[in-house]
Amino acid sequence: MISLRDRLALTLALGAGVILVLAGVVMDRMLRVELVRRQDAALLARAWALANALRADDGAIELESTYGFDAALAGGEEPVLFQVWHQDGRVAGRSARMGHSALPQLEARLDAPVSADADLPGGIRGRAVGVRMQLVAEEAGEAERTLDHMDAEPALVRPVEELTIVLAQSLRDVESTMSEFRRGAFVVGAVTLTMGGLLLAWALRRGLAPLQRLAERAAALDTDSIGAGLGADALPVELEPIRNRFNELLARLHDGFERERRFNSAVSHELRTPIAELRTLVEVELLDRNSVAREAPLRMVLSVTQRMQALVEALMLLRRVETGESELPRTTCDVSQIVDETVEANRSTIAARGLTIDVHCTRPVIGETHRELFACAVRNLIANAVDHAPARSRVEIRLAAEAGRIRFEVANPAPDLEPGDVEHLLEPFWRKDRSRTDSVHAGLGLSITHAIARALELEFSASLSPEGDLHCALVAHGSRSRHA
Amino acid sequence: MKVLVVEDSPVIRQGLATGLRRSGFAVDVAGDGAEGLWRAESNTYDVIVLDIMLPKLDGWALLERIRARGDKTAVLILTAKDAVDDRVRGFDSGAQDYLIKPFAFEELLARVRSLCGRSFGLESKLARCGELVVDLSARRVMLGGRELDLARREFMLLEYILLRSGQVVSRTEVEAHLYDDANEITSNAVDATFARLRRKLEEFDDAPVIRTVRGMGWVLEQPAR
Repeated sequence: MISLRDRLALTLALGAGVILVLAGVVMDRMLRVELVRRQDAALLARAWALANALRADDGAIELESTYGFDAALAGGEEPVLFQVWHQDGRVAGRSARMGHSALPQLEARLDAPVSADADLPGGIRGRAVGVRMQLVAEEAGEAERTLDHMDAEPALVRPVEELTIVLAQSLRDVESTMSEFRRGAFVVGAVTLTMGGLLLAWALRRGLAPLQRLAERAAALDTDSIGAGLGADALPVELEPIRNRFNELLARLHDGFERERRFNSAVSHELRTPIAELRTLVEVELLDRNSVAREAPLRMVLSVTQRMQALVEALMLLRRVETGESELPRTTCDVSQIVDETVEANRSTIAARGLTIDVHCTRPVIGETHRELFACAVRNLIANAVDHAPARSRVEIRLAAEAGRIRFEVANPAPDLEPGDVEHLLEPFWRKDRSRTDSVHAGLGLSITHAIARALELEFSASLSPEGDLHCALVAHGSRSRHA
Repeated sequence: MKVLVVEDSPVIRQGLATGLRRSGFAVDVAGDGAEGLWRAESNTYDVIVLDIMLPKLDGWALLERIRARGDKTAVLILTAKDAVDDRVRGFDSGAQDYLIKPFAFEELLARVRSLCGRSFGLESKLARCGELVVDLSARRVMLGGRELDLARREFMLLEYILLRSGQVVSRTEVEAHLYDDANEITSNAVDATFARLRRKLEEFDDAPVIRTVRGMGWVLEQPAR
């Protein structure tokens, strides 16, 4: 089961990772676009510089060296290539380093230069910028043409033709810058994720610590400690209402348990005197030699009284064990002897019901426990099996000491039980037969055994096997048990 | 043997009184602690059966009061209080036995008999004087291998003088141990009982002898050889 902290940490880490990656991608795109835009702007400036340097001279086009065009084209590590086209599509000139290669002829208008990706000679990816200009001829020996007033009608010049100039440059500088940026971004991202993860783990641990403490306290609650609730120390404001409400509910539950215990105790205690009265009356009456005629009904009344007494005493024992009222001193005793004695005590019932009892035990099994209570638990388990197993069936009893523990197990066929019944077996007064036609059993034996197991710190389990056998087991852990 | 039952439940009180009387005890009863204390201080009992939760004066206080004045009468606490602390307190307060309600009357009877015997230094249920053997539990008297048939009062008298064999028992002591409030004692009742018991014992050659000590009482002695 994944914890809330782990789930939060995982979700937040994944979220932060995705956000970082998305941010990186966006920044990568934006940076590349900006770098390309700047390269385009630089190319455009150089294109206009080239345009300004062009002159028409008797049908030929000359480049004015005074404009320092070579220097203008030589900027950066990557060389700038150019190509100029006449209006009729003839090539007017190109960079010498291009040889016979050609640049793409971009369709620019006079008022709208264009730019585009381009494959440069040698298969190099690059950017190209195209401008369209009017080549002017000199009037009276001097021609003037300006880049800044292309839309205006020059006063002293005569347009000769329109030229298309395309400048191109490799994107290697851009890609190189992008690579450096990506490397940096990756390192920064990794460091950020690592630091963020550590910070997140610390923050979650610190932030969820009160919840963790609350959960541990809640997990440690049992019927004995429920009155303590979840404590009253300072908690974050988000948890305080929950804790306070929970404490109120626990207090109510505790009061309910206490009321139930007091009620059981009071009922049991108050029933003792009337039962004692009834029993005394009947037994004293039986002493009367003149009561022979009434002996049979008197003995029946006595039997019912004794059953009531056994029930009350069982309830009192349950209360004492549950409340820890009795001291539980441990003594060394032979557990196998307890089992043997209990089986012997049930012999008449076993014979009457035609049961077969298999006792698997290497005697003696010596352990340290509270003999009387442990014997009571053993008696209840064996009596439960003997009384409830179908007639002429087989009851198996196993007792073993191994690896510092004693395991006592009773198994009997329980065809009437369903898997859902097992959880109710330990409830006081629970009986499968809801009509309560069984006047002998009160449904307290396994409850008492469960309470005894808790008091003696034994592990008690009840389970129904796929074959329909009820297995009840008591395990004493860490006891100084041994086969003598 | 005479028992005082201090019990607030009238049903248990009367039931115990009836059962104990049928079993050969003289029984006085008290329904509250104050009456119980008054009876304990005014009479001699062999055993006091004492409840704890009593009106007016609880059993603990009653026990402390009678022990404070040096009364060593055996006390059996009969109560519904079953906690270990209560039982320990009972024994610490000077009770000889502790029985929790509900109880089997047979068990109570056996404990009362045992306390009676122990108060006279008897370790078993059999009391002897020469050939005379009395089973206090089965209420049988054997003499020379034959059973002696005694009436209830005769058995009570024999039981008492047997437990005090060799000692002179006075009329007052006999009356105190054999008769309770339920029985009106006539002036010659004790003499008549002694006379009947003596006649029955004299039928046997080796029977102990009940000797009259003039002006003092009676003493049970082994027969002279």
